[in-house]
Amino acid sequence: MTANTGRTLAVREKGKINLGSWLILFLTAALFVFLALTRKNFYTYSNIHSILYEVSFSFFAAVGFTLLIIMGELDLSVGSLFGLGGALMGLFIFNHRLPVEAAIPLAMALAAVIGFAAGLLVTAFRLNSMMVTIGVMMAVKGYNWIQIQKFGGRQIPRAQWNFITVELFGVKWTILAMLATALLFEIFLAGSRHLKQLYYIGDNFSTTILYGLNANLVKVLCFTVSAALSAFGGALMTCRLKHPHVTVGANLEIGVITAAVIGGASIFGGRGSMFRTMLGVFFVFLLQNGMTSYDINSYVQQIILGSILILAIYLDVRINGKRT
Amino acid sequence: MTAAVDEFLKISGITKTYGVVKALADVSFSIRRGEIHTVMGENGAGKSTLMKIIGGETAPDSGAIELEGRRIRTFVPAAAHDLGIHMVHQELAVFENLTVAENIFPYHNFRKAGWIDYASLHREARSKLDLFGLKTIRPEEPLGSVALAGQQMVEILRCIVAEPKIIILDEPTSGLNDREADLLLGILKRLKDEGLTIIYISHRFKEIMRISDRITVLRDGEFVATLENTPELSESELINNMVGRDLSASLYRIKTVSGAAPDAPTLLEVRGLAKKSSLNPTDLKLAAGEIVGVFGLEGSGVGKLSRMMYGLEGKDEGELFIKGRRFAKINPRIMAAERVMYLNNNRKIAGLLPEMPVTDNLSLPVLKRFSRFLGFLDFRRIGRLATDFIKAFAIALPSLSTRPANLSGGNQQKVMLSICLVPEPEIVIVNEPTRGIDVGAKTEIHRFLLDIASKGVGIVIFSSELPELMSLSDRILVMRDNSVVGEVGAGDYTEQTLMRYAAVGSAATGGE
Ligand SMILES: Nc1ncnc2c1ncn2[C@@H]1O[C@H](COP(=O)(O)OP(=O)(O)O)[C@@H](O)[C@H]1O
Ligand SMILES: [Mg+2]
Repeated sequence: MTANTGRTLAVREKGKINLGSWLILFLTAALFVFLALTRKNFYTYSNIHSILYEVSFSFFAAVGFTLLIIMGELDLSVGSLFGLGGALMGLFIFNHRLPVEAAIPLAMALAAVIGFAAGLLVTAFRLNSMMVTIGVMMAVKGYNWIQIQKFGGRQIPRAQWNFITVELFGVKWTILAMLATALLFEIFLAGSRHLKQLYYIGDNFSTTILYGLNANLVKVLCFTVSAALSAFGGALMTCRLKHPHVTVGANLEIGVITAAVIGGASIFGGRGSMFRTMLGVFFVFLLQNGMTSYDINSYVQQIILGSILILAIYLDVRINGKRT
Repeated sequence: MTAAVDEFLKISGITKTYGVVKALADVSFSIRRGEIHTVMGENGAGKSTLMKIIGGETAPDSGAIELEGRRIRTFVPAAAHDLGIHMVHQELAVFENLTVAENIFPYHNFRKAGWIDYASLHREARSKLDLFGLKTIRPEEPLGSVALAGQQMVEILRCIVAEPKIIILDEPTSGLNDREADLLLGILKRLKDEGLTIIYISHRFKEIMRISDRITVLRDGEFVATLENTPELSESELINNMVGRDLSASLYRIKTVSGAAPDAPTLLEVRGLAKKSSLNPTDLKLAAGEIVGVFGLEGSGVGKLSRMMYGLEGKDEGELFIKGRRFAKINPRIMAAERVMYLNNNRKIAGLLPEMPVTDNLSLPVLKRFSRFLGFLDFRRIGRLATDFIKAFAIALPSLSTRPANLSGGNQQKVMLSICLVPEPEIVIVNEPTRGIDVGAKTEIHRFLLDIASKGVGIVIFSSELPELMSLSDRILVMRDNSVVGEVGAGDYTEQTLMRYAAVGSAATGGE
């Protein structure tokens, strides 16, 4: 009986391909090669570097998102919290005359409070995370607009944004920070119990509760981290633009979900990788860059990105969906 | 002619299996036109499954159902409705957000110029409610705000307005108090007098013997007997039919002496654990090396007790002592920290990480023990631990990275038991440890439980299978109506005694 069960199992295990882990590498490589072959100015150091530079800011909105989607929670507020980072930069630097090294941590702390509150609503009050964070998204976005309009396009002084241009070995430091962050999270997700338990919580929340894990606390912490890191990314992005702008973080959540899901995360929880999410963000930016270089109208780009998101979710449901 | 009346609904040779579980095995009997026919049996006897087949919710593997001599071929609820068979489920299927009236007439046609004619809808609902004497329920209020008993009545009303030939009620009274149950029984009697045929499932002996014309008993998925409810019919006879297994020929060895040492220290004590309208103050003591069984029929409070004593469900009152230390607050985190583990009764809902490798499953409750600098896990030691447990529990695995989702029920159950034993607990609460698994795995799990008890672990076992309890437990507590009503020690076990406590609340037989 044992041998028999064993054999059928091995077959079943093999039959289930883990599409998620290879898909993103393949897609990114294919798109990269395609653009390199068809576009004259694509495959130059400065172009690739500038794409990565853009990616490095948005990536920080995807970090907490990935941690949360692994636990089966969706955080759609990352885009507007990214924007909040910028709005608060303006507030602290223009109105309170704080230096940037104080403004960024403060902006992150304020965003963290919002993330914490959202986390509480999701865990203690058992509200649906998608709905709660859509609410947060709307409210924060409203606040961002009000604030940023008041600044009327005022520029941040050079002394405050100058640090963003620092390069190490000819590479912008934010790119290196992104790579280091992704690597660090990847290592901890794979090997450390603090982050590995996210997969367990995502696979079966009730089981982790039953065996004594404080799954709710973990969720609240991740919502907090997600908000703080999103604000961090937005603050850096604002420094790069030299002034707070309402387009910072606009629709970013859509790019981030797409990135995470084609990076192998599942909206059902239990799957996801920080490194592959990073590749996913790179892929989305590469695609946008490529479409622009082909003179594709930005509204058409939206249609294409939306379709890719739907396709990614469709594949996710087909591959990872709960079989009934 | 009489045949047509006697065999109004004819059930012949119905068999239904779920995986390794034979929910129904070759069940045959008939329902008379216009009778109240009660179906009895322990939890898991197959009652609900049979009702679902008659109600067209699931198809049998083999066998036939004939209504008035015509064989039913499609098993979908709509087909059953067309034939006039309606069912009130054990789990209520009402629409809480709709009003009472809309629940009674879900497919109503009260319209005026395209608009819903609420006036006549409510008027009609009012008259139906009055018919049942349900004066306090208003047609226009949302059903969610009506008490459980009222919801139950509304669901019955919904069946009645469809003018059925047969209605099926699966344990309608298990959530009702005596007065509400009385009201329901009165209504059933009336419906019967109007010619309706009623199939009724209940665990309450008194009401069964009051309203039934005939009683069919199922046991372990098999038909036992159909009895006429004459004045001579006694509770004992029913109980004997419900249990009455030939245990001498079974795989169970009934315990005759307690395995626990008389001077063993108390590990766990529950004092006055209670919750309004679901558990009356309950005490329980567990000594080292002892196995205490808890038995009860559905709705008796066993489920509540098992969940509340581990903090899976809130309590109103009561406290817990673990080796003399008092805990007023109970939650799984505290319990796990005190090395009290819980084997869940439904492994599909909680107890396993179905899509994670078995190694991750096994290390789940002891992650701290295996973490080093910065929480990094020692995968080599986890692998060794997993290998040990897989060997000790004879779990059939192709590899350590296999996920429980791909295992058979028996192996899943063994993985789950292993997870509970990895922290080397001193106290284990097991809830239905062998539900839905094959006989081989079942006996193995029994052996493991007896083995850890002999090493000093205290076990509280909740089970709806009497033979299982009788072969494992050193003593058995029996629950009824949310209270412990009796305790039987090893040596005095008979299915009849235990079932009698569970059914009528006392051990005394009719003559005494
Ligand atoms: N959908 C299902 N899947 C697997 N097993 C089931 C299912 N429904 C019932 N069973 C099993 O069939 C047996 C009979 O169950 P049921 O008909 O609900 O019993 P009863 O209503 O008499 O308590 C039980 O062992 C139960 O676990
Ligand atoms: Mg049932």
